Amino acid sequence: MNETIPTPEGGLAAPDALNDAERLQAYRRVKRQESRKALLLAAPLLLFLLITFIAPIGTLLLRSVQNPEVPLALPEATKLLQHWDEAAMPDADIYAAMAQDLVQASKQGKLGRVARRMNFYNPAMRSLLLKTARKLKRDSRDDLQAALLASDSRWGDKEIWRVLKRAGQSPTPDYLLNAVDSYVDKTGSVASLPPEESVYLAAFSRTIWISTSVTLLCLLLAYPVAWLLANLPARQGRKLMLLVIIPFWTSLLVRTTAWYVLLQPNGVINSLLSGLGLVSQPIPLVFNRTGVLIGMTHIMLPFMILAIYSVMKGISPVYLRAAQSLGAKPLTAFIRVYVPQTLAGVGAGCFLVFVLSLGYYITPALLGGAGDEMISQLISIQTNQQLNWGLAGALSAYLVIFTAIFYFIFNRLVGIDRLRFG
Amino acid sequence: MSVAMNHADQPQDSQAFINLSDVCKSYDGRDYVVYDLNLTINKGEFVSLLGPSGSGKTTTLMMLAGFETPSQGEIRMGGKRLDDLPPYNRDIGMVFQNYALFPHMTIAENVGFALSVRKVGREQIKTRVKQALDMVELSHVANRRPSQLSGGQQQRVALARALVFEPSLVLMDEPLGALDKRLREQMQYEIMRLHRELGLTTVYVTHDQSEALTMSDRVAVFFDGRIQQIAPAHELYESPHNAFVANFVGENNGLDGRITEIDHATATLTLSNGTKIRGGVSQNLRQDTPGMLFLRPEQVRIADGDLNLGNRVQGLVEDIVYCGDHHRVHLRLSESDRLLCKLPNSREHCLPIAGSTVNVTWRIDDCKVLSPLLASHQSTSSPC
Repeated sequence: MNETIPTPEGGLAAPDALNDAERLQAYRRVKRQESRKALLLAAPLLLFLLITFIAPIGTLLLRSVQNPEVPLALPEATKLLQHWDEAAMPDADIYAAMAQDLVQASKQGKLGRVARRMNFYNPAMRSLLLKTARKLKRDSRDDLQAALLASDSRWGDKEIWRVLKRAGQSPTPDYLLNAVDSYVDKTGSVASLPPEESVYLAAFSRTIWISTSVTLLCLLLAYPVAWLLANLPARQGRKLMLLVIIPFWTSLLVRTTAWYVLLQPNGVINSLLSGLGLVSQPIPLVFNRTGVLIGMTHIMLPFMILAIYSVMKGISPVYLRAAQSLGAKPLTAFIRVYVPQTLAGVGAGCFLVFVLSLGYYITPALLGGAGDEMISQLISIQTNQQLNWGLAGALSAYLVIFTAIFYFIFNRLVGIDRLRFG
Repeated sequence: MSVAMNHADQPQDSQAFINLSDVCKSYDGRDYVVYDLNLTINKGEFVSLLGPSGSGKTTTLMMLAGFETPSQGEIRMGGKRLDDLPPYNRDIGMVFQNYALFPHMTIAENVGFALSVRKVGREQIKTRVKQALDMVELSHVANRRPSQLSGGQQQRVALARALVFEPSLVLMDEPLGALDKRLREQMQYEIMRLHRELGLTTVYVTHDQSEALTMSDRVAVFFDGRIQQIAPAHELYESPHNAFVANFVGENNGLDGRITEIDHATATLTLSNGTKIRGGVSQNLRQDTPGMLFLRPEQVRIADGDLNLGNRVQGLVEDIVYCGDHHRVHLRLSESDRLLCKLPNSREHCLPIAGSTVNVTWRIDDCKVLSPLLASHQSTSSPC
């Protein structure tokens, strides 16, 4: 149907071209003013998002490639080291600069930060730097290279200098490599850590695996509930909806702790099972994968239910009638006519649950065992305990990238764009 | 009000295809949505169920389709009891009010759905879907989605979908309600053409009387869960059985009065101001009881000079409304009685002047005295 709508650009009754152009300009001016006003209204929110969300996350992600500690504290030595070709030992100038920089940094109180940074490369570096600076301050020799070598024989080791050179480079890929259990070895090529030392790759795959399981469990449990919610008479529907919403309002920590109490070896569930004579020994339900899955599924369930319900509510029951009148048995009608129409909700629910699960923290920490650490727990350890913000930033960057990839996949599969809530 | 089901109106044909006998439907056991319904439909017949909302017509349709079960009585189709069959085994095609096309399927998939659940071969589905879409002249949209079609097109697809599996009965639940007037008329002819060409048996639910009158072989007027009258369109319009049908189908000058005289062919109705009007006799009339006049506005003529067609009354012209092809003249006969008169818009009829007093006249055969209507059942009349 080609309806012609008189647009201001079209100017149906425009007498000549000049008039048309003027009119178009005036129209655009008004449009611009309108959009400026709209932007002004949204400005507080945009500002808030910028300050509290985009800027901190951007900074954190930037940290994964920044390497400022060593260049700031040891400026001269860093500069000279960048021109060192790593073939022979560094020359006397570099030794001298390093000795001067170390003394200077120590006096200015910058050495601690450098020591901690170098510690991430090699745990021995920390003591080496601190000890050398201490000895150099007492040494009054003019030959700084000799003084440095005298303070510790390891200064004669090329590997130490190579590590210092890497630490002086900014931006650096090292954090991003470390986050996937890799590093740059002596020859300058990327190598992987031996499997027994690798931590993060396993944690990433565990995170994805747990998130997938939780998503599927939620889908399985939520679909029938959402159907019931959408098809019950309004009064009963509201009551049932309350049951779904109330846990949603309850504190996450409270809910997790409640599961902790319920699932213990001598907790409610195990007592019940052994009381009924179903089990002779308590089943391990907590501090393992089972506990994590139960806890997380329970907490994620409302998201899934609400996402699917919002779509189901809009599907008229007349479609099922139509399908039956066309000869489809109720089950066939449900599968071929009802389910496909709910896919947008299923996709949105799965995406929501999956992405939230990827970054989950408290529940796996409280209900999981040693083998159930998810990636955000490791990020937290790096941020709060190890103070290795670079590595934390790198791990977070991967998490963001994963999320983006999964968004793309889900969007391709079910078209989240088409979804409307409410 | 009496159940004006006249069995003489029903074809007492042994070939009766659909048979609803003594069907009742109640949701709570006290109030009946459908009460004591008897309806016979022949093969190839087009029957409309006409009535205001809540009159039980849709419930009747849903019982035929199998989405509601009768509380009492039985429904037979082709001699076979339908009541125990689930909707998907009834072999009944249905067109729904808002089309109910499956939004996630293409038009071809929608039309082919009934065939694919019947496990018809892929090639055969293709040809039959093509045929069905050709029939409604929509083959070119086969690969589009319902949302990309206009209302009229969706309606035609819904028709094709309901007909593609050659059902023995087609039900339509106010299928044209969502279309604009022009399109609705066009679709009426389309449905009538398909009905004729394919020899369909059709039950059509509507609250639009003109739709029912133009399309159907017979119209069943529903009110209060009962069929008030079932008859061909002209009979319904010209000779309603009771006051409800008279007021619901078309327009009526329903003047109230007392029945003062009955002989074998005519009855006399005396209005509150003493005016006597003579008209045909209907059933169940008793002398000295309240009565209601049945008189179509187009039968009333302005009496020039001494013209008297049998009934002649005087009235004050209150208002004249121009309606394109006719004028509506509102006359006041007395404090309580108003008479509406439709004058064709032609040069032959000169219009009275508002505020003047005129005489109007009509034939005795053109009006009828009926038992009166309950107060709540007044028809609402529009300005045109």
